[in-house]
Order: sequence, then C-alpha cells, then structure tokens
Amino acid sequence: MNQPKLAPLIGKYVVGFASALILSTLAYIIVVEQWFESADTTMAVLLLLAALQLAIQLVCFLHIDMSGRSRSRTFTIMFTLVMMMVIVVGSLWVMRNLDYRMGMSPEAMTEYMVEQNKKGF
Amino acid sequence: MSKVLNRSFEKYEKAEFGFWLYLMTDIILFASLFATYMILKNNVAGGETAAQLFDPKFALVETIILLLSSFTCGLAVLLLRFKNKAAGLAMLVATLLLGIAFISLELYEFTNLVNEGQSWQTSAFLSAFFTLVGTHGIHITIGIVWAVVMCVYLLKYGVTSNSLRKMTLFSLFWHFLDLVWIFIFTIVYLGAVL
Repeated sequence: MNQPKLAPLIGKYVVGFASALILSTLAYIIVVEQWFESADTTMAVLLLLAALQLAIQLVCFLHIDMSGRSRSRTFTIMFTLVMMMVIVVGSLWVMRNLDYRMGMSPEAMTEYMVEQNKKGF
Repeated sequence: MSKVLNRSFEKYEKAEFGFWLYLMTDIILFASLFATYMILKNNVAGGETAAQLFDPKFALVETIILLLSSFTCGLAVLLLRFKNKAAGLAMLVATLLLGIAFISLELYEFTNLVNEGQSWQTSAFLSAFFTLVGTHGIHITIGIVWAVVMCVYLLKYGVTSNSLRKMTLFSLFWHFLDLVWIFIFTIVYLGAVL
C-alpha cells in the first residue's frame, strides 16, 4: 500500500475553496453591478454559478467521484438531486399555473375552460 | 491485527454511508422549504419586499465566513488523518469559531428584522424566509454543538479510528450545510435584489 501524501490532498481543498470563493464573489458582483438587463437572465446565470459551485464542492470537499469507494454515495446523491428538481420545479409549475388561473375574471375562466374542454383530454 | 482493522474499516464505511443517506433526506427537506419560499416570495401582504429588507453585502460576508469554516473543517479531518493532532485541533477550533461568527451574524439579522416589525407573522413571504433560513441556522447550531463535543473527545481520547470516524461524519455535515447556504445566498439574498 502506498501512503497518500498530505500536500496534494490539501491542494484539493485549496482549489475547492478558492473556486468557491471566486464563484460566490462573481455572483455577488453580477447582481450588484447589474451585468445583465433582465432579471430572468441574471437568475439563470446565478443558478448556473451555484450549480457549478455545487459540483466543485462535491468533488473537492465531499470527494464524490465514480471510483469504487464513493460510488454508492454518488448514485444516491444523483437520485436525490433528481427528486429535489421534481419537488422544486413541480411545485413552481403547479403554483404558477394556479396563480395564472386565479388571476382570471369569472368570464375569462369560463371561456378558458370551454377552450380546454374542446381540446379534449 | 488486520482483521481488527478490517472490521473498523467496515464500521467506518457503514457509518459514513448511513450518515450520507440522512443528508440526502435533509436535501429533500430543504428542497421543500426552497420551493415554498420561491412560491411565497412575492406574497408580502402589502409589507416590505425582499429587495427592501435584505442586504446582499451582509450575506456575502456570511457566505465567505461559512465557506472558510467549511475549508478549515476539511483541513482538520485531513490533518487528523495524518496524525497531526495539534494542527487538526486548531483547524477544528477555527471551524467552531467561524461557525459561531456565522450564527451570530444571522441572529443579529433576525433580531433586527423582528425589531423593525418584520417578523414571521408579518407576511407569507417572511414566514417562508424565517423557516428556510432558520432551519439552516438550527442545523448550524447543532453543528457547533457537535464541534464542541468533537474538541472534547479529541482532547480526551486522541486520534483513534473512532475519533476519525466521528470527525469524518462531522465534516460531511458541515460541508453539506455550506452547500445549502450557497443556494440560500443565491436564491434568497441575491435573488431579492433582482
């Protein structure tokens, strides 16, 4: 058994920390300096940066990879992240839709439902 | 000897995976709270909005503190694994202090909000905010207690396979909380300004 060296292992943490720091500060600067005009674009970029940071921290701090020892952990977290997306995106989808319908006048709602019924199920 | 080592390694693997599964259920808990917050974000009941209440600079400071503590926590486990007890303990204490600094800032923010009349009873938006960020804060508080216990344990028993296993679980927990915070920072604090 070859003993692992300390320095490269610390290096992994330094890389993880430095990139997390840069990504967080970058996200802050993007918002404060208003790099993008539309709020939707900014949010999309921010979520992308957060996802990137998630991936980096999972690899550098939590040692998630496809090698034997952490394989089961990798699969469980991938499954959990899918469940997380179902919960978050699903809730937002359903509630936005509900919000949209609640915003209609009764006449518009009747018209909308007749319209939907014509399409069939 | 090798049989004993194998058994302790097996125990380590099982404990680590079991704890990992707990963290996965915690992700589901936080996902529900995030979904709730995103849905209720604009339901301010005529009160102040997120943009008026939150200061992204303050949140950035909190983020950097928590990130730094996550880093020192990782180093603590690593140093202990290399039998460097003094440096490992120092890093653990640093993690602990940074954690306390973080929770103090958060409590300061909460107290300010409540004193300004912006409590969890004010609007659906603030209820969702306090539940989401407060749940994270409770996790951090538990982590701080755990870190204190680990300090005492290490001082009493030294670097053994048992203390290394406990430290690994603690570091998983702490890194996980840092990850959750990244999303709170992005969605709650930066999202508020948009």
